[in-house]
Amino acid sequence: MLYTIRWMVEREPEAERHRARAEVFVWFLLGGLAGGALVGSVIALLARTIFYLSGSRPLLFLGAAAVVAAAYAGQAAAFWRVPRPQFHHQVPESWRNIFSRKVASFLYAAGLGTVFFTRLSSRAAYPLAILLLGIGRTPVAIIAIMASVGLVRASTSLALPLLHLDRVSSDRIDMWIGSKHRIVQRLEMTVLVSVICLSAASILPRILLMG
Amino acid sequence: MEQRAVSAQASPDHSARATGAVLGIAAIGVVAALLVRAGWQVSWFVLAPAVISGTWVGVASLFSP
Repeated sequence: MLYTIRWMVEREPEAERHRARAEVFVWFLLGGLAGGALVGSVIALLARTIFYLSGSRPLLFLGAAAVVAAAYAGQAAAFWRVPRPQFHHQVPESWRNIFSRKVASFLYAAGLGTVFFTRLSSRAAYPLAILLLGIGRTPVAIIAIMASVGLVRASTSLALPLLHLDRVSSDRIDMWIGSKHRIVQRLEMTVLVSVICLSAASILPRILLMG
Repeated sequence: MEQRAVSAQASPDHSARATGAVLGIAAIGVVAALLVRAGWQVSWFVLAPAVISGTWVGVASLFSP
């Protein structure tokens, strides 16, 4: 994604770059928001169907999310292997040439914002999907949460100027990503463990009270 | 003279960072508004893990080539 933004800006003549950058960023953010809302609507539809069929069972889905988070935390710690079902295709790069700058930025980010329909960069996406499927009683909340995820995903593009990565080569971006590998692994593990702990803190008192 | 040349070189970087910062603040505002909207309807015990994992899913793509 970082390559795409840099490339779309850098191919413009020097005098045009400032305007191009602002335009690409704005349409990128709008696209992320739209893509997130779109995938949120799909999940909301599924969750609503589950709600009609089996009623509201958020604790059941919370428990399932905790189990899945534990499974992927174990995988991240190299204790065991767990399959990671996902779409392997990414947003086609050719869109950058086919469409105008604004349209390409919007569509590219909308594709990224759909999260579950692209290659997943984090294992935390799986417990997130399960949590959302459990709140079919409130479809608007599902759409709002996924729209915010899409927007956060698109907003990471803003790191380019803020981290001074917008004027460096692709190799330097690769090196920068590689240098963050360990901290990314730690953050991933922290998020998965947080999901387990928060879910357990909600479920266990209720089980004890019932007992 | 030298100073003028340096500031002319630094200016595009500065404006790019300013654009990034302004849009970043706007994005944070929109995300906060969306999550407050979701928070009206969903209990904290579901919302908290969803927000943590969702935010990380978004941020993690920064580190994906």
